[in-house]
Amino acid sequence: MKAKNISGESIDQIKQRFAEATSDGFAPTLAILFCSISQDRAALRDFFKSRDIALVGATSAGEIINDEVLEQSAVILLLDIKKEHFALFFEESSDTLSLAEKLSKFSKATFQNPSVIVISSGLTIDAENIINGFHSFDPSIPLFGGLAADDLTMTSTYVFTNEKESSNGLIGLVIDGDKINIKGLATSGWDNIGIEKTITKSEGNVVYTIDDEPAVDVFVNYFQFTESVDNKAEIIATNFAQYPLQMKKDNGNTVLRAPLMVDIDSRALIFAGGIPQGSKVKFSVQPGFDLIEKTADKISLLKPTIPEADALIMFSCKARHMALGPLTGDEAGMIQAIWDKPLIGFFTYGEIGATENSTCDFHNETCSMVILKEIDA
Amino acid sequence: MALKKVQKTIDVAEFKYNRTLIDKAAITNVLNASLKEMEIQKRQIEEAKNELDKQKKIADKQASLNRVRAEIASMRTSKDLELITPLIWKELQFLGIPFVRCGVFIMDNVEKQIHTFLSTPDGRAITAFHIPFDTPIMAEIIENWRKRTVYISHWDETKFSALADSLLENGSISTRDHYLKNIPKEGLFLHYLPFVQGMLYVGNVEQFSEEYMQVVHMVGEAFSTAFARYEDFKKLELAKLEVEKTLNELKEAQQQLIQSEKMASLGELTAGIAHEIQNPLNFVINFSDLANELVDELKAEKFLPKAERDEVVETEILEGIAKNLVKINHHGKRADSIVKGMLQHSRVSGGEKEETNINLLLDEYLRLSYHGLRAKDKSFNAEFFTELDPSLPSIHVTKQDLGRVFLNLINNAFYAVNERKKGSRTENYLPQIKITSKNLGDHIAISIRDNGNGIPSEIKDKIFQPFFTTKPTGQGTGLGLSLSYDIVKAHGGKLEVESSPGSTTFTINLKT
Repeated sequence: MKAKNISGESIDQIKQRFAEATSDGFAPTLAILFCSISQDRAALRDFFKSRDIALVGATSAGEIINDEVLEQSAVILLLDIKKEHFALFFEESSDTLSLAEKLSKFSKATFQNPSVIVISSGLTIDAENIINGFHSFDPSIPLFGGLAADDLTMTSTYVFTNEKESSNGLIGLVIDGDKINIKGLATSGWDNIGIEKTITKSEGNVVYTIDDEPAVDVFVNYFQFTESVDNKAEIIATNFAQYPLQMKKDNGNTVLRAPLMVDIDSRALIFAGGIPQGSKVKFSVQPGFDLIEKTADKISLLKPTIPEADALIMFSCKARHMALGPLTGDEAGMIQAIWDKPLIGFFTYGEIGATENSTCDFHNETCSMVILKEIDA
Repeated sequence: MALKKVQKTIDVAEFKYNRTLIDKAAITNVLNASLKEMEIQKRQIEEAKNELDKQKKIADKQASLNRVRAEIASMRTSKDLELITPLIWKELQFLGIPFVRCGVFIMDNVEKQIHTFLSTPDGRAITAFHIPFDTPIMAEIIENWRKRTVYISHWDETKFSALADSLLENGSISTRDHYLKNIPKEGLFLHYLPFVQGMLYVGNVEQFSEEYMQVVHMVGEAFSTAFARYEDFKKLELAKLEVEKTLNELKEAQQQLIQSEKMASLGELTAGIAHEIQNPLNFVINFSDLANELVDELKAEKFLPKAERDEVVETEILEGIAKNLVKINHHGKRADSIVKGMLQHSRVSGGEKEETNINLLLDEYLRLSYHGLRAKDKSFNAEFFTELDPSLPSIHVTKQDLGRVFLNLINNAFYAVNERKKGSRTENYLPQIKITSKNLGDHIAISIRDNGNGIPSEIKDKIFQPFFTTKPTGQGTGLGLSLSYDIVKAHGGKLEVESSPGSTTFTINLKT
């Protein structure tokens, strides 16, 4: 399977780069596209539709191509994967749980050994339900992916195909595991700090009180934020999101939960994933600058299981981008160098994948890598 | 290109610098906030611990007081009181009171004595000793006890020494050292805390603070409550002894009464017995007279010339004598059995059970009763009938006990008809009693019916009670029916009465 990656800041630039990429006779059948909400998605969809190329698209908060980090752009992974080796699932609903269960059933109905890359839109969904719903049907199906983003405007996130787009939907790229080898790993690096606290009131992913104090006040007091949080989505995302709560789940997985939005009336925080009432949590602080080497080392653990690759996809948390700044590109570059194949990715509002010592789960502040390799006939 | 690289290096350095500043601030803030919270938590834990300590102290105090109460309340004898001193010692120690020795003075207003319980220096009890109220050394203590005021005095070695001498003298201690050991040079403050029955005393090198005094006061109060219970218990014990004594006396008197009732009924029998014995005696006398005459005849015959003697006549005379002797023997035995029966009747305890023909027993006692009453009162007369079931089986009973019951009931029946007769001379009244026995298969029924005045319904319930009698003083003990009832019950039977004016029937049911 041949793969090429291209990027562009406008539809015209993309068209031009696409032409260059296909000038050697390369005929992609599938495009995986991550773009800023400022990009003309309708034009992009039309472009791929007109060329009969299946499209898996999601909006982002920064785009990654090989060792480069872009903004306000689009990155595209073009694959000449056989059409019978993949299938697309795309449905809209606010009932994330049953949506994910449907996806799980769809994938199993399509292939005997499916692997699924899932991307969901929806700013306030409890993304943990993607895992719960998917696993409720079959927990053995490999699952990777992330949540679409919107350049930290906290207005709306989208997923799309050639046919349609949705701010309230789930897109699943179902791959035939018998034809395409697909491996993934998520790593974090955030360390917990301070004393253990208790979530005293929460519903799904909305946390009202921590140790009986309004959740917003707890964050403000702990981190001495001086700027007002009222209705300033970016302040929340840039400040709070970098200090996620670390929580040990009942299934034994330790996950990070980043606050994404504030409900000013109730002084509650809306997190990227569910935090059950009664959970014991600790604050986390950003990792050191050596994180990028550590991440690359971790990802390289996959190498023996998939020595060669056709393409790499990275779902990296927006908070990592903010924490690592210009080093983020270096990180992507080091990971890309492990297999030395085209890499695209984007900065997400949440990642899905298994960490080194746990089962597949929903995470924040991680880098979730997916490696694809067509199995030789 | 090189410029771009340099620019990136600068960017990275700048970013790292800025982020480090932000991180440092954030980490500092979190750690400071955590620290603050941990300090608050620590303080809360300390406060909780202090509160717990306080509660534990209160609980300890309560437990100690409860122990004092329980221990004293379990004391029963004066000997137990010796344990007071070790108990107080132990509890004062438990409550954390600093002290060198302790004791209790119980004021005995009756004996005008102080019962003293003191500790040795190692907490053991000195044998309780008793000091008269007017002992000079005790004047202040008595005075303050009467006013119920706390009294604190300071004793130096000399005072302790003097007390040791008197303790030695009355034998409460064996050596002076036994008491004087560990008395500090500067002497002791003796704190006396009054309670209702006396004073609790605690000696210490330093005078007690208000807090200590309160604790000791509580111990005194607990002691007082418990001691009051001890005293009540002693009083109760005494009262119980008194009651037991009275009860025993009463039981003895009752026993005597029962015996006298037996003797009384024996007295009633005497006349009847005399009559019964008179009969066989008459026979004995008559037959022996007859025998004598026959002997005389035989002698006369013997002196006749041989030819005139008639052997047939001689043989007839001899046979006549023999017959008379048999009769004499028979009636002698009868008299003997009557006397034996009388002796049995007067025996204190019931005899052995034996197979008894109830009809015969009834007949015997009916006659004894009738002749007895007739002998006492010549004017007495009454008709009596028997309707005795010949199929009545012999039953296993104590003969003289059941005989006593029959006698009692028959005597009562005769008494009743006689009373009615005396009360109505003009009336054409025929006193009658009827004795019936019936075989009812698994039991027999014996009834004694009279046509006397009947038993008034208001006393019917009482007639089986001991000492209840309607007879004039001196004529009845009131035990007759009560004993009868008990005897029948002891045989597993029932004694019942039915009465209406003009008819009273006592019925005895006995299992066969």
